[in-house]
Amino acid sequence: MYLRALSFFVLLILLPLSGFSQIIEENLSRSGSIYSGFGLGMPVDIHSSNTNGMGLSGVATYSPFAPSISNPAQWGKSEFSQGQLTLGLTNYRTSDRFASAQNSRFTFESFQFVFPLLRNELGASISFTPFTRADFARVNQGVLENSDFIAPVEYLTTTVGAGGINRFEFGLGYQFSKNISVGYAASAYLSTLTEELSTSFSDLGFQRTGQPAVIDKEIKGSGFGNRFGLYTQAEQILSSNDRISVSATVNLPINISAERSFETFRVVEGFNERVELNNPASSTNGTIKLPLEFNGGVTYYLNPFHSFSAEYLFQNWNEAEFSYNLTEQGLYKDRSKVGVGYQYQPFMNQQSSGFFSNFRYSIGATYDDGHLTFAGQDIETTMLHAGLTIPSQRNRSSIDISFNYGVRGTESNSLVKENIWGFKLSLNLAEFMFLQQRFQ
Amino acid sequence: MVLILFFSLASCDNEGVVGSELTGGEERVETTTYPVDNISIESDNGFAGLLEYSAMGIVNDPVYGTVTSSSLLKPSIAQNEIEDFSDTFALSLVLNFNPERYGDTTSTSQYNIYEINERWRGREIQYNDPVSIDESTLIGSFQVTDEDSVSVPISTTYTDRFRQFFNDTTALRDSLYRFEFPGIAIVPAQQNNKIDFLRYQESIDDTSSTLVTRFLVENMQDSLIATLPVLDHANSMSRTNVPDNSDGFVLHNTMENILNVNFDFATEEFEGKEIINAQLIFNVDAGPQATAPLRFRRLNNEFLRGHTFDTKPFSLHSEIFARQAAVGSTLDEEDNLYRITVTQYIINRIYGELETTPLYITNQGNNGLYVSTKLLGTDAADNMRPRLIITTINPEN
Repeated sequence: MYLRALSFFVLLILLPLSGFSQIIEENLSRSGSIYSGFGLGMPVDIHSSNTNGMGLSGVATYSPFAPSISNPAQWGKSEFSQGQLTLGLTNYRTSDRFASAQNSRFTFESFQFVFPLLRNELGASISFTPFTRADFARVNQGVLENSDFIAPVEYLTTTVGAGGINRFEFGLGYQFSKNISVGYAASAYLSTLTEELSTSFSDLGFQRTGQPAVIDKEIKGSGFGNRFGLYTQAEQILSSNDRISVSATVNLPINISAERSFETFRVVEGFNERVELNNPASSTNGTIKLPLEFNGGVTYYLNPFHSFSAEYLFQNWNEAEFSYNLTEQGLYKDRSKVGVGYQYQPFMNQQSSGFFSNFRYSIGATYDDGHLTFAGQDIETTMLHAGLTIPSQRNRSSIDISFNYGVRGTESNSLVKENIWGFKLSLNLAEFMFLQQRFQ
Repeated sequence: MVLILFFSLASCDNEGVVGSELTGGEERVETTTYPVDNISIESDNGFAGLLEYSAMGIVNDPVYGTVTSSSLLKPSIAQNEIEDFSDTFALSLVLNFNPERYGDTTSTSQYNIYEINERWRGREIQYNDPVSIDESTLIGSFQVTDEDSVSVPISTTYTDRFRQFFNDTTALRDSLYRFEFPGIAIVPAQQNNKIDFLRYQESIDDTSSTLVTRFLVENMQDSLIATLPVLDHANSMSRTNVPDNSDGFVLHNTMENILNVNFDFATEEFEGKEIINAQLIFNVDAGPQATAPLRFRRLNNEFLRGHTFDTKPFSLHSEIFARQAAVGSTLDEEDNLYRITVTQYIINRIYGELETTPLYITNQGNNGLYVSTKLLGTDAADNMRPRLIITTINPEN
């Protein structure tokens, strides 16, 4: 028992740290969606691990085998202390009219720890999740034409972006009755958007140290957010053992006070020093405003083994702000995402036998009209999802494995099309951590 | 096992360039041209002695004025080859010339050799500071057209005087020679119209031998007894009748003119930007070449140099002569201009804390040859006047 508890705490402490390092570290070989290079990065949809296989957040889908990260109201239904960690691998095969490339990235998706304060009545959650993620490499080329140059000077500017906006959240969920739960979470949003801007020239006379000029850009800031959740359910709708849950969450807009810096190394009067490049004409202070988010869903349980879910996500990106680049802010548009999914849980049937009866199976499809629009062309994403849950035979721990494949964007209108496939792994640990042992 | 699969797949990245059209509006690199108006000429005179070449002759240059130059030299009394200068020995001077000449290169020049009338030292003598020459007694004379070398017998009177110093056995031999024997001057006749350059520097290349100006000791049968190198040499040069060149900037490698260049742009303009290249452009005035008389040749100026100093030197020409140039440029013969990369100087000036000092521009090094050039001035057309081209990266774009 002590060993399990110790392992759980080690997991609690170490795994978020590994996630931090993954996010903060500047690794030039990483590359995600090229569309994450605009503004705040790509919004990250955080799914409960048990609904990853459907591509849905799980706002209306409660599972005792995994903590819900999408709906604070579900925390009041907690019976066990639960922790979950989700890791992901996403592969992007990008192409435009002229070239194609393939990139993969390994990501830390989320970490959450939920513990009941009053079993099946009041629960608390601590979590760390990314809200947006920027991870891209962008290359542009140009030519300096000047009649006084020996020849036109070609240059190549490379922008490698990383980081994003991350959310630390603490919240409570309260279950008024079996059919109604509410929840609230307060969160701190931390923004760390970094870009490495390097420029190389065909004329080495333009590279002072023989190396491309490198400028590091960083936007750091913080803000506070509020999220509310409602979970309702009703039983015996169409049959004696069916059930339906209708739930929603609202994430209020978040204002982040940010500060931008440009830094580079420069040799001045014989000394190589790191200097800030701040243009007094443009303030280093800026505003980042994250949009209002509404997430609603309905899950119909035909019986304990079959369930159908549908969700709708709306993010009010029209009102989002990114004062450091109004051009990129102008690309924002309201985002809507819809999805449907189905889950089959044969392991819930005590009478079922056979190897394939030990799992939960999930399948789903989503359509996202995107938060960016280029010359009237929305960056849409269509995805297919599938998943497998391996529940523990002895307790309510589980492992969720999910796959997704989809297409984002288009090659028309000088845009980029991304064929995306992804793989996620969630570890869900459940334990009676704070209950006194009555029997040895 | 699943984690191993994670990391193995994540490591299979294949970077490519996609989406360049998506972000084609970025103009991060900018180039701006600034006129350079704050240029003045500092008059000075470079060292004229112990250089690689020594000029002699007269030339009436319609652009750069009348240059009159006498070559001063003094034979060594080192006893390396002979210990005694016999009464039967004669002294002759072998002059080795640089193949390039300044002026009417087809003309024949007449030179007379006289004794110098004052003490001088090659290390100290400067241009436009002529020494006094005793033209009452002719020591020798010769003519030069385009020969590689000329041998000139030295008069017996002068040789006898030299013999006394050479054969002196007292302890003061060297000192007396330096102070009491002033050497000879090769003086051009007034009708000359070109300048010849005596060669003093031996070949740096070990595989070839370049003869230099020297004295020979011969016996009565004209057999070579010994070679006496030149102990000290210099130029007694003066430039007169200089035309008005205020429409441009004239540079002589004798450092009679040194450009003092200052940059007056507002440093605030570069805040938030990173300077990656700065080029100072000088266009060559093609007028002097185009208006040169027939058969009139000048030595080509091939590069400009720039020096910077923490504080203004007490002797500008000395410091420039002694120090390696901070920046420089060779002539772009096609565009007929010089591009001097001054990136670090501009960065220091804009972002540094030390007091800003000018950039001193000179032409080729002072080696005894006479090389001049004329650069277009601040009143020239915008694309021809002195200008500074600064290329910056603006990370906000």
